[in-house]
Amino acid sequence: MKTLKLLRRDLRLGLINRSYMYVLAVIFSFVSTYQCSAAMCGTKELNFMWSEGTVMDYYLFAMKGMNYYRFDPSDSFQIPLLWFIFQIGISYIIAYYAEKDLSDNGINVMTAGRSRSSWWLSKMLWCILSVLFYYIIAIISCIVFALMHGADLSLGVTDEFLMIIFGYNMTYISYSDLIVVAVLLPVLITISICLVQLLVSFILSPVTSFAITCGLYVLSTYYTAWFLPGSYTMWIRSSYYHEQGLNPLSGLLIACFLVIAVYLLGRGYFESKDII
Amino acid sequence: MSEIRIEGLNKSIKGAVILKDINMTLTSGKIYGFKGKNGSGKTMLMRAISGLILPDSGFVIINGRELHKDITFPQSMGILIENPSFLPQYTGLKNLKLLADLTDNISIKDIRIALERVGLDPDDKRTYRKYSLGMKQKLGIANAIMGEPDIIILDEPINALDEESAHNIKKVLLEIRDRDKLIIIACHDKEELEFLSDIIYEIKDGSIIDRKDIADEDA
Repeated sequence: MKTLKLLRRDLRLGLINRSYMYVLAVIFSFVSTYQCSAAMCGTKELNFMWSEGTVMDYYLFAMKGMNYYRFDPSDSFQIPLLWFIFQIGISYIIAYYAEKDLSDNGINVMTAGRSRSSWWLSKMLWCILSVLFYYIIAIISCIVFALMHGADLSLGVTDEFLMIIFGYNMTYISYSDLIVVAVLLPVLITISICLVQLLVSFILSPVTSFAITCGLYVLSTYYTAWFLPGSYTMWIRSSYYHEQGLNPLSGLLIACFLVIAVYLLGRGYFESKDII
Repeated sequence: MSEIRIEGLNKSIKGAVILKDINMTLTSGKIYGFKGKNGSGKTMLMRAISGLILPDSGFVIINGRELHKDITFPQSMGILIENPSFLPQYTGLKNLKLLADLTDNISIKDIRIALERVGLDPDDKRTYRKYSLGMKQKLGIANAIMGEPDIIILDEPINALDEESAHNIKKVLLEIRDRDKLIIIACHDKEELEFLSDIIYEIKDGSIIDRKDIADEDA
């Protein structure tokens, strides 16, 4: 009950009052669907594709990130800028609110709520809901823009388009597996990274924590490894599509582990923290 | 009836001793004054009583329940420590409403009464960012006294207040005390502190060096 009361306050101050920041997700969808549409036009001109594509094609294009990278002097490394901006966008949105709320109103709020652990749980739930809201906005706006580009309102994929763009044959992958690697896993991994960032922002500072998150995402594009979980947010790095890719199950386990670890560590931290 | 019992309380922060072997028992129906120079430990003692800092050793026991063991914070407490801080985009009423929503027992009527008692208009449409220093201080006091909690902790409550407002706040605090509440205040002004307090503790370098019973002296 205490947590719900605190969460209601956090959602109001930390999400609703700052909802203008989520326009970033709309801009991301606008740019990525535009790029996808241009790519589709090129594919159609070459007579490799005959339909207008589906909203799922647009979504997969938007969330693709970057192919598995292996160092090659002839192949320069380039950060997938749009994916990077999308990921650090939510990290920026959640970067400052919680720490500022503690430093500005922590005494009033904690003493009124009368629970340190409820306060921390509320901040975690606020962070999780913020990430979900961000993804929902991105997905909905992606669907809207895709429809405006003439896509079919279908969750099926256009194999020939994805084959041309990514070089992957999607026909042998089940639809449920695709949903796991392209929707569920990126959302869960983004939530877990944001929760770690939230905890570090209290222990170090919001700026340091945000910088560490940015560094993590950059490293995640360069190296594909389970300990750099940013890679899991790029569905094309899944082991379904690349033989050296990441196993989605390990991503789900890492996300669950991080959420539980952050809750326990944060709870311990706030139970013993002096509020000065 | 509230009782705060402090036994052998010690606290150091980054190697500096902040509170040293504090022992005291505070009971309701009295105003306790904490006196001391800047940095003497008055505010830290208030923070320890309110559950904001954790003791290195010793206990703070409130109505028989130990802080940080049986309870995280005192169950019925209003607090103003150092500068009041509220959300700048909201009015005073809205700010207090947001905080009252976190508790179970403070109604909008209680909030309006608290604001009126400290001399603020509950229907004032100005946001907190447009408040003067004195108005901010009054809002901080209103926050501490709304719903008349059993324990009220006020650090420098009459700072930044004009003479008339300070007189009004003192009157309000005495009224609340007479309704069997326990009030703790810290104040630089010796005369004000002696006027308000029933018992004064003098604190120096984190230790209590004197206890003065004002009621006995008056008698």
